[in-house]
Amino acid sequence: MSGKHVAKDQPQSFIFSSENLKTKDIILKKYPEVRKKSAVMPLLNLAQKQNDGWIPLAAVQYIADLLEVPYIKVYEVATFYTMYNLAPVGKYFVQVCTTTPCAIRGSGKIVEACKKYISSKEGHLSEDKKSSWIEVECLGACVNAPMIQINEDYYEDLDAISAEKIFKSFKDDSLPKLGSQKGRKGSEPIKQRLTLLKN
Amino acid sequence: MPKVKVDGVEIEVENGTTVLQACEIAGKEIPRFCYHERLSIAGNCRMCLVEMERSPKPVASCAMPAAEGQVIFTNTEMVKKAREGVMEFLLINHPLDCPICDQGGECDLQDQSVNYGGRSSRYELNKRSVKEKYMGPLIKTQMNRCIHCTRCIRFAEEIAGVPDLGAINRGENMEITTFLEKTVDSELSANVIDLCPVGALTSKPYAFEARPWELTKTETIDVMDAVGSNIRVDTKGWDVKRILPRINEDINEEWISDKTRYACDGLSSNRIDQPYIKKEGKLIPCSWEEAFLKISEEFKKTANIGGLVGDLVDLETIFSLKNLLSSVSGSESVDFRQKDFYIDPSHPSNYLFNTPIAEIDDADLFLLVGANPRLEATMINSRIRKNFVSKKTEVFSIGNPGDQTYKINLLGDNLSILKDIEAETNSFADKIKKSKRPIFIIGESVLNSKQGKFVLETSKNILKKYNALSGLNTLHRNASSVGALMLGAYNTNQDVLKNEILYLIGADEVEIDNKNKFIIYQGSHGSKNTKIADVVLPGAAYTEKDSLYVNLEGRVQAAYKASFPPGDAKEDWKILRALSDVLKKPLKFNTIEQLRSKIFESFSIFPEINQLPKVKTENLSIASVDTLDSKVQFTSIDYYQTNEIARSSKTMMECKTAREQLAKTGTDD
Amino acid sequence: MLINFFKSIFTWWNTQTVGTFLFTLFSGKLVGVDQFGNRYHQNKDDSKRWVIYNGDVDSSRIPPEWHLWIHKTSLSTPDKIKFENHDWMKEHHPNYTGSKLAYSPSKSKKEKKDSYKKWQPES
Repeated sequence: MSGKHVAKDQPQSFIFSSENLKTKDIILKKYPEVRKKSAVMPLLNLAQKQNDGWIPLAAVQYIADLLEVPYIKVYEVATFYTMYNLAPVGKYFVQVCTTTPCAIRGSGKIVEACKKYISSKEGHLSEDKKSSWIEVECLGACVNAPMIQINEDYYEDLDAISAEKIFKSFKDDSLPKLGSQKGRKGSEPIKQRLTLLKN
Repeated sequence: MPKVKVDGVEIEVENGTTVLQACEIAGKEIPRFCYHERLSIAGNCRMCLVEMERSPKPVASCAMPAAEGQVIFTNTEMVKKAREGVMEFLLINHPLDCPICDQGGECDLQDQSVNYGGRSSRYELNKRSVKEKYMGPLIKTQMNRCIHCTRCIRFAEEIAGVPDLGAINRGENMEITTFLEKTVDSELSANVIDLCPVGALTSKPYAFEARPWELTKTETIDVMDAVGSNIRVDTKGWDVKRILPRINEDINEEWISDKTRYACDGLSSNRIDQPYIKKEGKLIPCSWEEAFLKISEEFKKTANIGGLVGDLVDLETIFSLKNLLSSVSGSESVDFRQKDFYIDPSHPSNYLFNTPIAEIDDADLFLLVGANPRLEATMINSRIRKNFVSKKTEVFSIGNPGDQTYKINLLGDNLSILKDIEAETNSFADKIKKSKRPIFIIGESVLNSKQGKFVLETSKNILKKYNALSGLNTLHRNASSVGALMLGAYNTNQDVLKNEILYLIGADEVEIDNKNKFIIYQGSHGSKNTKIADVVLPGAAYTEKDSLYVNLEGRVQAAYKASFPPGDAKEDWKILRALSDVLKKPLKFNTIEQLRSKIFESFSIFPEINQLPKVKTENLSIASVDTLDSKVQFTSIDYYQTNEIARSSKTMMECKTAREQLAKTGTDD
Repeated sequence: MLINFFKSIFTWWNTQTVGTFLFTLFSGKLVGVDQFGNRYHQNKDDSKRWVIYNGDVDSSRIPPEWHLWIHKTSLSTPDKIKFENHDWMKEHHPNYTGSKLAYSPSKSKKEKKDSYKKWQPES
């Protein structure tokens, strides 16, 4: 993975909606006036939520002006954290965990499925512009590896077949039930012995 | 005062010293990339690792404060291994393109990998590649070579005051860039080239011009502004290839402005290299004899002769011209003022920058009166900024000079405010009352015949009241001004331009009506005034002669000859000396030594070279003046085009265009 | 002729010295002459081979075929060996270094006479 993919087509301007302007004021109140540049991360998050999951450069400039810091300082933050997206993401934004436990349990096949069913390039929109995918580091659900995150939801215990099913379901918005795709509850053992008490 | 033991030698260091500095004091060399004396500590290159007793791991000495009882080792096996390891990591993504890299030969990475590196790399994968970034017409980038020391980022933020540079992405993908690759909007930007320990940021105009070992280095003085920054001129054959700063803690520390550094390509274009004489309205090349004969004929006709010296003229030339004209015509009509300029030469403090530049760091209040130090004297401005950053000193201004890279509190733009301060009706009076070392900086914009007297005398009155007269400072723009004032090269009675014969030495800024006038132009570069001249004499530029310059503090500094005048051109004082022979009024010196001792004999005000003049502000006479209701009008400064050398320079033109482009796109804030 | 005689006495860089002349006269056997007029000799038991140049003494004047012979790479003289003539082969020429035809990189050829630009009164 090289540096962050920044979208080529950028909107000319960005401005917080009236609702988010109120939220912005609430966020800013959490920090002392002289330290208001600390609010850069929540504000970037706010901008990302408002703008369908990604931050245009105009928003970077807008936030920098709000916080009275140089543009580059906000841009540094936006490019540093992986959870800020600088290019449009799909309605279904798939984050594939490829850290060691998931990799051992076969996340490579999930990535291949992503390339096949979503977009051949990481971080680029699919042909129907409905979905996109990226590789991420550990999402903290190693017990049910391999797993992916779609928007805010976790889909666990995947294999090539179940991943394909999920990615194909984007078309008619009929996503399967979240959680384990092998039907287990939480991270209970897959085989019989569910508790220490039973044998 | 902690006592530290370095390699068995116990030394006592001051509080706040780092381990790295302690090792330096003990005479041990510690390799480093990110650490720099004048920048904040980053501690991210890890090259300065040393072993410390009772520490299980090697410590980064640049970021570790020296403490009582520390036992440091810099030459153990552990340190050697640590350095080799760090060096191997640094070289993992560093391309092996030294043969085509402009930093080659003066590269910290090259030197230190020879001294401290291991044998070879064990890395077998592909090296990363990073796109070149655009940073303006001066800085060439080769970001593959970057080792992420972040010196450039820290310089832009801390010293230059234009936080344009930053590091985007993270980890292996980290890249140094400006936001959306805009030009770095600073007059100090090119200093990052010197700071860069590798060849990632190199000089664009100097790209592939020469290797450092081919250059002849001459340590000399800059004349682009009145500060007199110390520079090193690097020449290859005749060509001045580049100009680098020289450390002088009293003046420019170790920075120089972009104009100082890059106007040098103007030295090889637009040069006058032979005498010309006007025949039938056209300037025709001629010999020195012809030109001198023509001048002596004209000098016989009238005694109405005036001399005007330009912005870059040295002491020797002004002195020679003054002596020549007074022996020929008896007149004292040599002047250095090419514009409406109020001077009060009754006491040197009236026109000097009385605070030594190094003492700007101690000031606790600034008032700018019609001064724009960022453009008029960039190095002074960086000192003010240094003080502002370290001590949060308040800077006030009468008249809005625009962005100065630090916060400015505007008092208004009417000069009558000064009278209010004197009468203590302005709130600024309280500030100055509390202040121990206030500094007033008066710019040339208000030193005109209308406002000059009022500003100078009122400022003196205010400062006298609070016993701070040494804080009275005049900010001159040109290298020749203070020297000319000290030599008495001014005429308060009459306008020199009214004379029938005008002897111009590099006077390029003034507008001259050449009707019924005989004009002699002597200088190194052609200008609008060269064209209207009747006789043109080729002179030498500042890198082509041994000469003395006086900076705005009154400090006399010697400039040395780095190359020689082109073609038939001669050093300026020699031309005047030769002309005096033709005029049968020979000047009484034959060598530069005789000339210099004559200057120092005749004018006791001149200090020894590199010393400040012994001028006391106590006995400064002060007049009281009536209040003046007049606004500050800044005279426009085209920063990159202030003199003929800069105007002849291609690089300066590019800078100007880039700056205009920046202003147009509106990203300039 | 007289000049050539004196040259052969006082210089070593013209054709041959007196010593070589005498040595060739008494113990030399002419084996051949190449296209440039250089004359090749050997002594009786072929322990020595030498050349008397037609003009400047410059070892790069020996063409490749004779180079083989004089360095004892081949036993027999070139006229007895069959050489293949390729179309990429060029006529032998002595080393150009020091001559007018010597190679110089394009940059130094355009010898910059004026490294500065003159001010022109009419501009």
